[in-house]
Amino acid sequence: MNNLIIKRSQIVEAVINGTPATGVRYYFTDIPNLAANNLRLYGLEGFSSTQLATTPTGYTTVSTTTGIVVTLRDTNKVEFLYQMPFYTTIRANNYGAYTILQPRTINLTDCYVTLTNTAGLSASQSVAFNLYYDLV
Amino acid sequence: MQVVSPLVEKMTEKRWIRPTQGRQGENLKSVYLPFTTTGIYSVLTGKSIYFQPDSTLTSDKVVITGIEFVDFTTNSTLDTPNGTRTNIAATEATLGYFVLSNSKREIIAQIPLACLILRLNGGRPTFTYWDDFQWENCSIYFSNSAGTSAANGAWFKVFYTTK
Repeated sequence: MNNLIIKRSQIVEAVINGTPATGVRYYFTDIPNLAANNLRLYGLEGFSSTQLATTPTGYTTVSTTTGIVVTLRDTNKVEFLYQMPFYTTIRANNYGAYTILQPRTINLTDCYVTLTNTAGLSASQSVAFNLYYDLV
Repeated sequence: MQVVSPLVEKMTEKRWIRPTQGRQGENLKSVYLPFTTTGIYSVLTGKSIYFQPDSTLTSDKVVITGIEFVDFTTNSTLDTPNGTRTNIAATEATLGYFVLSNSKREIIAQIPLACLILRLNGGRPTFTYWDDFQWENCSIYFSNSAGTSAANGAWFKVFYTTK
């Protein structure tokens, strides 16, 4: 079995703006560095408050992880990762295995999280990830 | 005969993935940051605490192939040239980041400390492939330093191979 090698990483987040609600798309905050055409995303890792209490931008991370799903879209607007449970992306929940993706260029501001259950979630909490990528 | 998918082969060749077995053939260096009340090792919210230059960990000589953070449960104390310190607990590690930078001070990677604790990740090592870095530009910082004091220190196990 293989596991991911970290070459470069960038912490990204989708902030729950307002009262948490199901069916709402909470888009990722833009990171201009990730818009490079020569960037290939090949893995990600989710963070709950057990891994990361506060994001670099100062938001508190979610402590409840079972009501959140994440969707990633590439530069062709293809939802190549559709509604993956956030819980699954947390490395500690998978005996240390990272989520490895087929390498591709993403459009971060098209990517979003949605809530399937708002219990335990609050406004202004952050659903945070580390994206693992390389420049080719 | 071993069947390997073209995708796995390509990702292995690019050094994006590798088998999860141990770290055969790699070297290990322990690096310590002994916290103090004042000076470069003082812990304040948001303050970067930089690593000292290291004659081994230079990117013209080595590739960093992995990094681990040793927490209190893994090993309670650490001995440093500045004296004995208590390792940081995992709960405090959720407030800290490791930051890898290169000679241009470009941030290559930023990883929460708690994610680098081996025992919290099923014993699976964190693999890296960092061949362009400037160790003295690398640092840690805490988004909230309330639980950390001069009695603590940070202990990193850095795995590397020579070029």
